[in-house]
Amino acid sequence: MSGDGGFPGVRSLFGGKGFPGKVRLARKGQAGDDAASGAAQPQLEGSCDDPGAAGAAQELGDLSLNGGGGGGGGGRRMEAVSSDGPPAAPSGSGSGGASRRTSSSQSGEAAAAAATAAGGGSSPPADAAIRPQRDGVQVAALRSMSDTRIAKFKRLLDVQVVDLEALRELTWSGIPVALRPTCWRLLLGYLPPNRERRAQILTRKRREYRDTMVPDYYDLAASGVDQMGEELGALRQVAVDVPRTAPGVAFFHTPQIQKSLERILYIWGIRHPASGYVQGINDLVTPFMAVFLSEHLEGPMEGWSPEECGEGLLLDIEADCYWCLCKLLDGIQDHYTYAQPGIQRALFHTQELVRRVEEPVAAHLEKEGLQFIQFAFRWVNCLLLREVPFPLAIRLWDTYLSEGSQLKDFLAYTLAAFLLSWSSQLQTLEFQELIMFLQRPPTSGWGEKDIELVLSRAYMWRASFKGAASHFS
Amino acid sequence: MAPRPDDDYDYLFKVVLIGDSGVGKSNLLSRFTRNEFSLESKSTIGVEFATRSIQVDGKTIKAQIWDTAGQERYRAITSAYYRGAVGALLVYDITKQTTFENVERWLKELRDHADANIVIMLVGNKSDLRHLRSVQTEDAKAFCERENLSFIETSALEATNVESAFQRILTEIYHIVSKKALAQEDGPAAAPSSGTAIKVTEAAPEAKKKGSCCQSA
Repeated sequence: MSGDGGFPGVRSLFGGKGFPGKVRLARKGQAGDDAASGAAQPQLEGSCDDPGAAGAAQELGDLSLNGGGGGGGGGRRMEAVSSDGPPAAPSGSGSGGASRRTSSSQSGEAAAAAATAAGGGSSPPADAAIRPQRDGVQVAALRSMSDTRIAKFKRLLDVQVVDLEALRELTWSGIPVALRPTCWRLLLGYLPPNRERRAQILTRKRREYRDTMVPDYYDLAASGVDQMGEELGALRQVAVDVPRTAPGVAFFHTPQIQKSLERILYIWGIRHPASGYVQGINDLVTPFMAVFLSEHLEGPMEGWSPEECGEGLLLDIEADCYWCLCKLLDGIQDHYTYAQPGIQRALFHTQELVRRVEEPVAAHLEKEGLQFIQFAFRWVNCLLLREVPFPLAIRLWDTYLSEGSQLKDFLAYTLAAFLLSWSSQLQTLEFQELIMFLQRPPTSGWGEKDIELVLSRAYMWRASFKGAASHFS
Repeated sequence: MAPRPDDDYDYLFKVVLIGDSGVGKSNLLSRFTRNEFSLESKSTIGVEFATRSIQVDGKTIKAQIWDTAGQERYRAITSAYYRGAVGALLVYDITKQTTFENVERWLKELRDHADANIVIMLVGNKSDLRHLRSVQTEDAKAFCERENLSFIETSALEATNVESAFQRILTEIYHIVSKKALAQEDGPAAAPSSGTAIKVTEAAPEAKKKGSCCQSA
């Protein structure tokens, strides 16, 4: 029944495969510029809700693509480039991966480079971005890359106070399965960096959710006592959407998880009256639920029985999902307020970027009378979650959460890169074919390298355009 | 009937599907355009689009159908799609009284944002759930007589009346359009091009000139 072919790759994500240790020798590059990275470091802010950190995350991504750490030696740089984390996308020659979209990628590169040159100013020169760097690369060392990467995560996490900036650099390129739950909680600011305070805070937050919010908001409304019209409507809307959440993944449809989703969404909506619950927010809970459950359930997601966790543990997981959803949505709340201005802005930025990066595609879409809102509205509304297989959405979340307060800005680059994954194909389609194609983009066969190609192109374009960001407004 | 090439049509009609969340708009559309039904479909975000061509009086009518999200929050976005629509299927769920009560609000939406002479058909969906019915057919019929709407009950699941719902509204639109064309030809100021085709896609560039399409609301 499922129209999108289920969830290929779920097994690989939650079945313990984790890091397959695939090695790809890429040119360095990836918009890296040591000078820029180094210069940016002092401004880096760990807090994900710090609006003043504008631009900082750009460099963060920059660093992570380069192997984490501007001052790192060649070995460190080589490591990140060749792990299964970052794709080889923006490289010049010699990149083995992602061949099926090489041509479009290159034309995008050329356009981006041209635009950079035109934009001038403080943008790092594009030729610096594709400068080959192979210092210290030893093929033998590549073999143990995934182990090295996990070890690196562990080094960062196994300390008294986690360096969030360093963590963001590392997590941007993907997080090992077993470490993902903790990393996400840290990245979102739900867990404090200080190890000593974590247990206490978790206990307090979970208790607050369980003992105060569920009874005060949900139980009251659900009991039918003291209902106002609006609350009733909100409850009804949530009840309509919960059964339609992640229809292809069985565990979401167990009674326990359905109830959890209903409470999370209803309580979030009531506590955020500026927007209330908006359809599609139900999708945004699913990565949290899957990742936090993965701490407690063995094997592939398809076989999970959440009731095995027991009621208490499930409530803790539910609380974590609720608080993490709050943190995620805090940064994009205007995506869901009246007339959804945040989405309109993201679409406008995306369109501008496409125009800058691949003018022929933009011109073709315009000639066909296709508006971005007609096909990309849902892309923004659900952060591309509906457009890619579920395991890849979780990988996307690694990068989104690493972006922190920069996610809003980064999203437009991601959407543009996603759209231009099919740049040559798009130019052969007419209005109706375009809209049919783009409302179901063919990603069912995508793997991590495909989504990482999108992310790294997005990353590169942001690095190129950052000096010319004013072209948006 | 062999499917004709996509571009080979005599008339192109833009139709919108509206109504509360979860009444089955998307499944009506997928049943009509692809003969598919899914119990596990996700909610519609913003709008979705599909087309199908049918024959009316020997003419090929291509329906360009915009399926809209039901939640109120999305109306600012979806109402932009009413512009240029010549038909609207206003759907409710026969097992949920509130979705029928909200029909009045949807009609107001159409009056506020759609062309004045848009053809509206009220569709009571999920007629297969007989044991759960809460909206009586007579009540809906009486409402439609008062409001001068067409009416039909459908089951997207059982594929009951879905075909005829679309067939009826498209035929009705066709008759209005061809009558209008005839009247204009009789009249002194007959425009040579009128009545040949309503190409709703032509509305798109015009909308674009005004900036983002959803700012019209």
